[in-house]
Amino acid sequence: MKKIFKYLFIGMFGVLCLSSCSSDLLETEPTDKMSGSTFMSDATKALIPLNGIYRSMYTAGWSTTSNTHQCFGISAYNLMGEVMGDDFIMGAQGSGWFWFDAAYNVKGRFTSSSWRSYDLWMAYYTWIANANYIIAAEETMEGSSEDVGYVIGQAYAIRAYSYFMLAQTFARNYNFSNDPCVPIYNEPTMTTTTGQPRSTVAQVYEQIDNDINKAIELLAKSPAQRHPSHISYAVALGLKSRIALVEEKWGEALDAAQKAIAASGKSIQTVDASAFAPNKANFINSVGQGNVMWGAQIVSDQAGMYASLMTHMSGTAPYGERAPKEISSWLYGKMRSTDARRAWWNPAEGYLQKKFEFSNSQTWEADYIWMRVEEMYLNAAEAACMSGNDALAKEYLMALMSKRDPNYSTNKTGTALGNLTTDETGSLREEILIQRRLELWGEDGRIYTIRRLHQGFVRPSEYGWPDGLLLPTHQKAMKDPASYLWVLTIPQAEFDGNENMDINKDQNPVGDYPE
Amino acid sequence: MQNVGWINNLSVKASYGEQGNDMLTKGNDMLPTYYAWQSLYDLSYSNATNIGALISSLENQNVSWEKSQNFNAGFDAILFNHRLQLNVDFYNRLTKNMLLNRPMALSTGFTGFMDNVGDMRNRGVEASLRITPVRTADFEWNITAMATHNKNKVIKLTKEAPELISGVRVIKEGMPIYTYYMAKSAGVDPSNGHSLYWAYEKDDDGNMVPGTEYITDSYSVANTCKYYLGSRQADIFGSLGTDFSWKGLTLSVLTTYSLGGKVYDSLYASDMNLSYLSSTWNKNAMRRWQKPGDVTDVPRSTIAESIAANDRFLIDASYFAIKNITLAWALPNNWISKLGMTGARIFGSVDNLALFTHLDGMDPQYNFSGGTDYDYSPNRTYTVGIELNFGKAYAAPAPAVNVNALNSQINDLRAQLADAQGAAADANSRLAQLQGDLDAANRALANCRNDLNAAKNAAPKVVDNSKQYMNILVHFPKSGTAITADQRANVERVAAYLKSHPEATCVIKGYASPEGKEEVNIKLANGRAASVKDMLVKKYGIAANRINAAGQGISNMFDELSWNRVSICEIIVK
Repeated sequence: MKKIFKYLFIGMFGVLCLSSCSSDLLETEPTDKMSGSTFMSDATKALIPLNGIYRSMYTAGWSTTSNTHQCFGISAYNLMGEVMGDDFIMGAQGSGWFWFDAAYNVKGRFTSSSWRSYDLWMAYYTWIANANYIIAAEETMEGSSEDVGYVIGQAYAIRAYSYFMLAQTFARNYNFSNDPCVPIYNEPTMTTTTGQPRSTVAQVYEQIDNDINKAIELLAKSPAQRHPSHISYAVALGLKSRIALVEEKWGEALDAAQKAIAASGKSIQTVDASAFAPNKANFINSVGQGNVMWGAQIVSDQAGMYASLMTHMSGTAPYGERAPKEISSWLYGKMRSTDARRAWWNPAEGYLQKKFEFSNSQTWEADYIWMRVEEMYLNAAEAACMSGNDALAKEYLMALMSKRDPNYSTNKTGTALGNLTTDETGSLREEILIQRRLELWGEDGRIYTIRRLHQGFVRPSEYGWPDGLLLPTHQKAMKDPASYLWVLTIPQAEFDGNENMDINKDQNPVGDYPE
Repeated sequence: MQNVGWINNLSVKASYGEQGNDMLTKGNDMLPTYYAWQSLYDLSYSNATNIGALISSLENQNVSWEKSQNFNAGFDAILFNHRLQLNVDFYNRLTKNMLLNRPMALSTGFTGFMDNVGDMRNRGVEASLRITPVRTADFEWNITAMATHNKNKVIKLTKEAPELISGVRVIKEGMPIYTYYMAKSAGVDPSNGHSLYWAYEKDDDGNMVPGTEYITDSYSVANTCKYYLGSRQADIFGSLGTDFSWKGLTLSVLTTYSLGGKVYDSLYASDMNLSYLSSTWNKNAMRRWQKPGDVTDVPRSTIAESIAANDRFLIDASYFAIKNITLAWALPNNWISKLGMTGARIFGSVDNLALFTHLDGMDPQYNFSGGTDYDYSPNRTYTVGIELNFGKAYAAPAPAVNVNALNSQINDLRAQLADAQGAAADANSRLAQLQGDLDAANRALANCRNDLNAAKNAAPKVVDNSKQYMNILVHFPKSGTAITADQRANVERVAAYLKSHPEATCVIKGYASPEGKEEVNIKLANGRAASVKDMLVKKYGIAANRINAAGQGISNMFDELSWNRVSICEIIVK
């Protein structure tokens, strides 16, 4: 009897071991990740990868393998553009963040995955790749046409913005239309995707124009901005005005800027000196302000701490004292005595900036502002002036200046511009640009503006420039808009992985001019 | 083999197996990736209060197991009375469908994806040798040496990606994995202190045209003229150790060594080419070029000078490390038993005593691909301790050094025991046999006594002259009961008569001479009578019932002793 039970038990046990779950029940996704196809199925879910892109636009650590404290997204790249210019002075090296950008000492480091070549290339192309996946789902995404338009339109706008920044960084100005620029990708990346060769400047700007126009068209269906970090209809128009200014298509720029102002519903804010002190909220560190069109709302557990904008900017923050950010005394002298923006710099402390401070330094909280309506007014003024409409230009200028300086008025006319940014011609265009330099100091990405104006610049030590940033070996290139001084080299990793790009033929000059 | 005394143990072994491996480690968190085939989004990119995700990996449905085919063959030998122990293993490991990162153009938004990029082979030999030069009852000295020689080669890569470059390392067909690929330094220009590099002209495929090498100081040319400069693979590596034990004292030393291979010390490179004001130079920077005419290997220090990664920072990876020295003393039992303990041991050891390398501060043991990082080299650690065992019936483990000797002694004793047991078994059976004989003899003796008593009490025997007797003597050797050849004739006479006179019968009386033990003699007498009867019955076919054979014990009929060793055959003729 006992033997029967034993055999029965063993037999059943063996049979049970042979069974298994059906493959449907097999869970193949890890708990902290999701596979892509689920996201693109409808417009609500597709907001998730879209928000992921926006988060990466203010987060450090993913675009390089180290040196992450100077790579915290759009604000970091704006700051990089500022320190490379003529108005924004780093008083001392500190720990070196942004110093090498200011000293134009990053082009030779293209073989490293820690420096600007790799950083900017990786960041912008990551945004392009993520946007491509969203754009590819345009036909299949479910949801109302407004919702789908809201998502797809933003993806086009992100792609346009990324190619726009790539073109301005890795090639010379728009007018060098046959210069090699950057590779273009319009399809989602697969394992079979091969690297593309460099397209020309003209081809890339054509891509940019198509993308931003498509973005505006789609976003027009759903103009409301659902989150301050989203590129809404108004923001897309604002980006278009920036692009058009670079392309010197003044009519388009004016039109886009005007529409952006109208669509944004934002208004110019006054500069209240008491708001620009540590731990106060103002329109430089809070997205909720009445003039902010586009910015990152950074909650306390997502704050970058040391890898954040205010850590570098604020003169009172733990790091900021070692690398003080100052305005050039030349530019400061352009403000009249009643200009409210004088609150932003203190001449007694070496022209130390006061504009950028934490809204709450205990929790490292400060939002990043990427576009505000004042810029639209300035864009419109400049475009109108260049279109020959000085009256309209003055209107936009006064709209801004009336909120800055009660005693302000100007009779300037014309569009003459000096060869250097410190050459004064007394034209209206120049006046608009000087007000732009003061208004958007620290925010504009100055070097890009200098380039599009075909100007050069100088760094005299009497304006406050320290020895390390005088650039003695680059004096000729600084004044030459056709130089490659500010054209970044392409990272080595691209040549290693891209069979259509050859380091001997396709690399930008490492020096100021081709060898 | 049993009689080859100098081989104590010899075995030959071989094995073959195939294993799969899907353990991909992912990036910096070093956790295994189980999802290499999936396109996945990383959900840690929340935007304020909105969920956000950024794509983190590409879908690759074609990725499959990495297979490793292992073949091992080798032998183990223990020779010369456990004085020499040798293990040698040859192995050949073929890794197919290697899972590695296949690079993509960075402009696609991905640095690469996990794919089966090719095959790789590791082939080599491992040997370990242990010698005991001295072994006495109290003192033993062992030397252990181990060595491994491994050759790695990438067998095959895919057609689309015949060369995978990652920083200063390359995976290329026909070369060891992670071969160094970088510019080759040609020293320093004595006139201006610039770094010099070797460069060459290239053919259309980008390969070097032989005989066109020249020296240049342009780092951008150097970046396009790279050389394959070896790898971290060592020629031979292993350990050397020795230990001494004398009574309770043991001293052991363990060292490790490696010869060959190179390390690319990127930390050294960055200490020789500083980026930041407050960083510290490596002391080799004192050798830098300072004025025209200086001949040195360190170029001049220049702000913002661009340097191509080059082989000045490829350092020979050979090293010798003293890993452990331990001195221990097990207190003698008679000392500690007085204290109620069953074991006590005092020991001191030092770990990581010294590391001798080609560059101060470099740790060549960091990883297999020859990199370095900011991590602590193994620390020198001193340990001192006492081990006390209380309680009973706890045998302190024998010092490891004597175990082999003890084992061989035990084996010898076992052999002896087996022999002794066999002998004892034989003796026992012999004893049983003797006991049986003794019992028989005793019974016979009892019968004899009975007969004697009966004879004494019986009427005198009347000699019946009508009967005729014939006595035939069969002589026996001393202590023998077998019929010797010269006596056979006598037995034959008896047999012949019995055969020709079927009515005749025979009485055989066996005797023994008086020397020796009585029991023995009784037995001999019995045997002598029996053997004659046996021969008559078996050899001559006489019916057993015609013969009456009985031992008569001791005979002293004759003074001549040998004449007493007889069987007397009385033939009774009717």
